Amino acid sequence: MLRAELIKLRRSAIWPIALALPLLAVTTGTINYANNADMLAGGWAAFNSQVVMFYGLLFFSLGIGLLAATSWRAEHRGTNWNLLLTTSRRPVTLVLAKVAATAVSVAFMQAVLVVGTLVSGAFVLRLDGGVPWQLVLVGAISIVAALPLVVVQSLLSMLLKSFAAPVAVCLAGCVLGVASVTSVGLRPLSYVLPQAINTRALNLGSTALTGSGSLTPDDVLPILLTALGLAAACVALGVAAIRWVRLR
Amino acid sequence: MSAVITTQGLTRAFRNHTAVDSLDLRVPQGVVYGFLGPNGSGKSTTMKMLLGLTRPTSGGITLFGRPLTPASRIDLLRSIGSMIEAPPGYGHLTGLENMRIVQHMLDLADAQIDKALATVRLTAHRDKLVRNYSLGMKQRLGVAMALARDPALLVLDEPTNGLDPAGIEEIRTLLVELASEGITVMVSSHLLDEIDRMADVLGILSGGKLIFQGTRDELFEHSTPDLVIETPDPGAALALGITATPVSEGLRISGITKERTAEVVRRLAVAGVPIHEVRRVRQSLEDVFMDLTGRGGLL
Ligand SMILES: Nc1ncnc2c1ncn2[C@@H]1O[C@H](COP(=O)(O)OP(=O)(O)OP(=O)(O)O)[C@@H](O)[C@H]1O
Ligand SMILES: [Mg+2]
Repeated sequence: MLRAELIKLRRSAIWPIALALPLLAVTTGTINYANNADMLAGGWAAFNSQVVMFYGLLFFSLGIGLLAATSWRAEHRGTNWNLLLTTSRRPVTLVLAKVAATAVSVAFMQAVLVVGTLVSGAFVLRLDGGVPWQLVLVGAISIVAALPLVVVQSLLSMLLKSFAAPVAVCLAGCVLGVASVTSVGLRPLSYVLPQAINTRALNLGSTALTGSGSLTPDDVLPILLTALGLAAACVALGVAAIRWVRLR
Repeated sequence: MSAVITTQGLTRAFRNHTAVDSLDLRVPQGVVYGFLGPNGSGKSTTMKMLLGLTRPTSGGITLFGRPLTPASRIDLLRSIGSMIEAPPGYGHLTGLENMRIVQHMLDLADAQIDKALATVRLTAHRDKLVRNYSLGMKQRLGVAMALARDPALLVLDEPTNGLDPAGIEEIRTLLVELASEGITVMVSSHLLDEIDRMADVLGILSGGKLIFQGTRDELFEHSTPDLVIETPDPGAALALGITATPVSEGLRISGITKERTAEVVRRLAVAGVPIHEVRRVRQSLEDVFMDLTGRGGLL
């Protein structure tokens, strides 16, 4: 089933999206860093914080919304739903395969971000110091942290024929996410809102966001466990949704 | 003959009307079952219910002797190939890639994919993007997707839609061939002559109700075709008191039984009226159909 989903990724419009967003983040991060080099403490940490700033707050989550919507768009065309629902697969397999395929494209997006950051830091900005390999670790952690949002957006895009509506919902979540990680009053929300979990994961060890935590098991594990728990709960919801909505 | 599909009072109501109304279908094993009805008569809705894509409002469905339930559905679908309303397919992929998707979803062998593509004669076009397929090629790909799992039952909703006469003939030959291999084929259409030469059994739907179900011959039995008597002297026949309509070649009598026909012919012969030919008008299925849908059916 996953193999079927991977075939659908060929020549898919998800690739330009997964390529453009992280490159945009790296580009703006590079420009910001170069313009403010005298004010910023300098070095990899400061540069990475610049890259992750908007990416963590907006681009990453929005990208997931776009990737999920794009991969479901093909299913809403014509009678492809009939094909999906007559495959003699259980609905849970269907949801999981789609989530896994979307996660593959999210992983690609993260790889572009990490490689882009490293390349730009080393060759464009010519930063001193050893290459910060924890970037790679953060990139990997954020793929797991993204799972709840991948599932939620997959569900929304599965249930709604519209391409724009789920992306709009995702954007609203981003706005709420920004509020939750920047204000003290809304702080509890940042532990369960998928968009905010993404922001926190990407800012692990970063200097841009206050209280973003460091790359220690104490800070990382809660994020990973919440992410996996939330993702599993959403998959259960998705299965129920297919049963009750599509096969009515 | 055992039945592959039976339904009991199958009904589907939408908010403001009943699309399918208490159907008692019986599709025997190994036949081509022509499912006929004008636009909006409920063919697609019925087929969706047979595949568990739509839930009946009331009534039941039995497939291969097993009741169709949410629990049995997945298992039953393994042996049912289907295409409802229009062929599925991913435009950004090639024909072969589309088939590979079906292959992986159903755990099929490479040989099954190759065979299905060859059966619908798409092998030469399998590396073309489906987006660039012609309507007929898309339709054939849809049939190949339905065939790939080597189904025991094929449910095809208007598979000849958009095909040219040669394409229609091709599908027709294919379906008859499949049925001869023991596969049960249920095929819908709103065009009679399309179904006419392939269907062994017909089910005719009108306004959501089944107005006829049986063989072609049984269908014709229900309506007697007109009798034409070719004679150069219709006046002489009419003078004998025979009720008939004069037509160019002689006389035309409607609704006349075999016994009455013999009687009329005997009287004409005795009276010395020259008879060149006596025959029944070849009634098209279309006529019978219009007759049926107009009258509200025979059931
Ligand atoms: N989802 C739905 N909601 C409301 N009404 C519906 C729905 N699906 C079908 N109908 C109605 O049910 C009736 C039967 O539709 P159906 O598609 O089964 O007809 P059909 O025989 O397949 O017609 P056609 O030859 O045009 O394909 C129609 O009047 C249609 O408007
Ligand atoms: Mg239809």
